[in-house]
Amino acid sequence: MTEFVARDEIIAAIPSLRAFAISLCGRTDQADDLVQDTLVKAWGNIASYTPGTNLRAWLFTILRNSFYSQLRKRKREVEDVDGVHSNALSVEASQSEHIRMREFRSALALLPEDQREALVLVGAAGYSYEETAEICGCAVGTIKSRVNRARKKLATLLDEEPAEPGEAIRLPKVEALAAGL
Amino acid sequence: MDSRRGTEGLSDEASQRIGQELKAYYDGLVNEPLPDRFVQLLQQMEQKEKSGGKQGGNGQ
Repeated sequence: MTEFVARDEIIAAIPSLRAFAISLCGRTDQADDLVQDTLVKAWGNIASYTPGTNLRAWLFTILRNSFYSQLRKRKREVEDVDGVHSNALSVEASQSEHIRMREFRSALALLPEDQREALVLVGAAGYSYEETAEICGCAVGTIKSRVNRARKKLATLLDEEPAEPGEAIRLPKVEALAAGL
Repeated sequence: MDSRRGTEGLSDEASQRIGQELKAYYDGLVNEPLPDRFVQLLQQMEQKEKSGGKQGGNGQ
């Protein structure tokens, strides 16, 4: 009964699916909706999963596709309202969080979605460039360049690579974001 | 002290630190307790299957 094995695996994958969802959308409530949506879709379409292939990657693919279709929908709605949309994510502040971690989260949220996604999949979720390319439906080279750009941008935002000594570009945008502006 | 920029314009040190922070951030999320809604959802889906799932196209 591969179906039942697959379902156990789906359950086991929930924590990492949720971590991926939160990294993508920056908000726990939205992320949990995405995960729920993914679980319902996966459960109902378990027959379309090929046994022996990476089930976690299959789930991640479903989740990121839902995320992007919601994002497109939301952008259309926002554009309908005032003709412009903001790319910035709103990031929840958690009180007990270390300041540096909050800065990191805020900087991560400032990356374009495609870069953030590639960086998280490769750098944290443990996927290879090839698997990540499959999940994102693009070429391996594209993933590599997204990851590189993401790392560089994070380094700049987090002031890891000051342009000149003494020239303090100290996260004005990130701090504003963290402060909820 | 070698904090020279590599070909990608990022020193090894900086990219290592970013890598560690990203891992810490992600692992923190993975280890968060799961909201109850997922347990309930899974129970619901299993229940639905047991009670009414047979009519849903089990034909072939």
